[in-house]
Amino acid sequence: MKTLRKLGLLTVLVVLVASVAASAQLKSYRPITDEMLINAHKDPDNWLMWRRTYDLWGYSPLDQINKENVHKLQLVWGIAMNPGLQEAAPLVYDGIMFLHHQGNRVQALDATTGDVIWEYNRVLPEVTGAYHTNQYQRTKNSIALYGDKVYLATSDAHVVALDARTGQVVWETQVDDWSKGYSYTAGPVVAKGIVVTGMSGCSMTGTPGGCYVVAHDAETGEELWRTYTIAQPGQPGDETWNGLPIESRWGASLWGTPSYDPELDLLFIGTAMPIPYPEVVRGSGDGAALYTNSTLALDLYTGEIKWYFQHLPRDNWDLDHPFERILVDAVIDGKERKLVFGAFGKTGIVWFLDRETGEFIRAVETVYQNVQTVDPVTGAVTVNTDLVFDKMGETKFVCPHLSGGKLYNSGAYNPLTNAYYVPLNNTCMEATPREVEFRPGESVAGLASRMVHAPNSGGLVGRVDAINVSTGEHMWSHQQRAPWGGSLITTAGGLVFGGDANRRFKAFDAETGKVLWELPLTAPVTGWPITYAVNGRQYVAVPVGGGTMTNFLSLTPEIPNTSGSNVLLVFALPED
Amino acid sequence: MLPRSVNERLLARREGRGAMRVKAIALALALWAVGAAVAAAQVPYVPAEFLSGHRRLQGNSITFCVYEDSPTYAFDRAVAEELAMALLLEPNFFEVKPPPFRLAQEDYVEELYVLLMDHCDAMVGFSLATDTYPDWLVLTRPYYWTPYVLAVTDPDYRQLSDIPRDKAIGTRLLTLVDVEFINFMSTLPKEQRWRRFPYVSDALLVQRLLDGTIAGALMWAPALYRETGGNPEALGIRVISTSPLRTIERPVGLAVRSSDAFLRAMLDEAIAALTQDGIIDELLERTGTLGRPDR
Repeated sequence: MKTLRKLGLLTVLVVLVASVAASAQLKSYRPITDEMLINAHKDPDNWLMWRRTYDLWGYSPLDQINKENVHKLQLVWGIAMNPGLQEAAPLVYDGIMFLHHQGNRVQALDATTGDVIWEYNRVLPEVTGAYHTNQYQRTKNSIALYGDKVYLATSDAHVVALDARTGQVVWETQVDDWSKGYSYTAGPVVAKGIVVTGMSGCSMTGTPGGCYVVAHDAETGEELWRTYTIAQPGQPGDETWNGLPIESRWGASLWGTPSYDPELDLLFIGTAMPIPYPEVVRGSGDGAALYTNSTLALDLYTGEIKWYFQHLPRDNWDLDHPFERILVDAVIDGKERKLVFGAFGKTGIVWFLDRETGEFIRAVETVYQNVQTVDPVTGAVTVNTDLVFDKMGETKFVCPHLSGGKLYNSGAYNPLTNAYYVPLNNTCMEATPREVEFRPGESVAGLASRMVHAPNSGGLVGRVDAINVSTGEHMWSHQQRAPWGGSLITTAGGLVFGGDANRRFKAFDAETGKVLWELPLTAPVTGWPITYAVNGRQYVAVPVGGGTMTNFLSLTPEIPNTSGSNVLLVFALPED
Repeated sequence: MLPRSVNERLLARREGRGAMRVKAIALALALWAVGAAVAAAQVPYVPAEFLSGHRRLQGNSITFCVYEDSPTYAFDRAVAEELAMALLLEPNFFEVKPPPFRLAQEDYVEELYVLLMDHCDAMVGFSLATDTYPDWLVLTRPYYWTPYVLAVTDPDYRQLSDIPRDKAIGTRLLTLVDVEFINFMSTLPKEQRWRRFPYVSDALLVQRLLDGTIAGALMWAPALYRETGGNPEALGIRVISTSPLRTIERPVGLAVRSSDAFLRAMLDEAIAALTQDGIIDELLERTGTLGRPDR
């Protein structure tokens, strides 16, 4: 009995100590300044934004965990997360982890133990329908930290500012009508007092005219500007829709968070495909359908489109281009260039543009694709018109599959190797535009697809490529049977971390691509890993659970789909 | 054999409950038994949290899913009630709020799967004409057919081919008539094609017809009548021939899971009986629904 009492007392004391310690951390919360965010590269311990820095490198200067000792990594803590598609991206600041779950639940956790400091749970309206529900089920990759607030973009189309010390709502702004289909699936970036978000969900009837990038005042939530991603009537690009009324133009959703150049005060964001997918259904004829599948460079203060580059005009196959735009200054052909680059779209082509002007520099192919060619000098895109559907019901062999190639999972850039590491999958599809009326008079579909293996892939689906940013040459390519899963990060320890749809979390040698360590986790690895340090100890955190990336398991029937039970797992080296 | 008329059915219900009760119990048992026997290999991947995880116990009732905003809601529901009566079962309804339009078949398949797993035994008002449904889904015979029409306001137009080629034709996106129109246009030289404006709202389609944005609207007849208060002529709208497109009718029936083959057979028999007895005709007339029974 005495022992029990002692244990009870001890528990109370531990809880009290933990709670006091936690609240002490938040009492000393230092507001995050523009200077801290702009100089985030020089702050190795923290992971302050989605990809750690405004340029979306996904790179950490930490090197405590390195090639020599990575095999010693061990689990130090984990925490259960809300169910749904696992696409989470935690942040860490001064020993506090800010974790955004599916369902717009946000927690502040002790980053060394996972103990909860505060929690915000948004009450979302109920939605019906699988597509809309899936929108809700997606975790919004990340939240953003700025000043003394935490910013999140919600499933019900709000931007919300929380007090970083308590989790209390400071302000919230309704950006659009969620019941029409507008829904955030990507987190904000905050710069110079401006919260910038990209709206998605513009595949639904209630969203004609397309999606938009929108800016809000970080202090008040007041809307500052809104820039549509589908050319509006009377504006440049309108003619690329062949006279289609604005109420019959859909698409150009924004599924990602912009990168930001503080010197140019430009935001770089990518847009998705036009809707419906096949132009024969869409009604836009052979028009390019601007600004779908484009990179947009937007003025931070006005939202003005400074330049755009369309990577896949007249898309017929749902091969959208909304993924990460990485910013690097690099020497190319002897000339210093300010680059925006990355595998912007599902085709897996790695594009290199001048981020000041939008000038084409280079395009590097990765996975097999047969939908377009790119002029190596001008960057002009020629669409493979053999694959453009003339009528309903005809089937074409199109590569990659509409899940990519490349998907939402981000690549990373390591300045020490000057390499871009990009997660990919070798896929193709048999695609057929067709009507499917489930209710008379009302249909869905537009493009039915069956995923098949890519030619000459040898049955290998998952893939990570390393590409030299200055030369565009492949440094290495890791290919494996299991489909690739989540995003990559890279570190000064010479490592690239990432995981696959078969639960394996891996560490590659950044120079050679050799797998130095791998561990089967609880479920497919589909989120954004991060690494950070607290009190001199480096941690690697990875969200696990499954999600969109498990679509690829249809190519590998011997690998069961173990999606479910979302968790965040955190690893470190043994303390001794 | 099922009873042949409403009166006979009611009589049978009072006097012949023995045999029918056996059938009803068998049906209930079948419904119960197949609850856990869904063909796992061919069903869509549905996250566990989408499903209730409970097996529905039906007793002597049957539950129909029905879209509450369908132009033929009243008719579909009335048919379902008659079907239940023919099967000596109590009808229940799960009213489905249709989500915003989406373009991925997979989403819809997933949603339908969840509905048929968690909420109902059969979906009424289901389109039957394509061969693109998943293996886990089977369809009954149609209980009625209903046409697509071309609506115009210009009194000079008598058929689609009368409309000048520089005009725009509005269509309800991806419906059977839209697909027919797309494929027909693909056979024409470019200069002979109309502009095609796809819409996803029947109300907007009618509005754009009335404001002159489009010269004709290809749409489902019940939707036209709903959006015009049952009287398109009062708004100056006429229905003309879709020629040179063929006349398109859509068969409508019920969707059930393929593992519910016994239920499908029972529903087929009941539909045949209602058709033969003239009940479908009667319901079409009573609900003011444009269509015809399956002959």
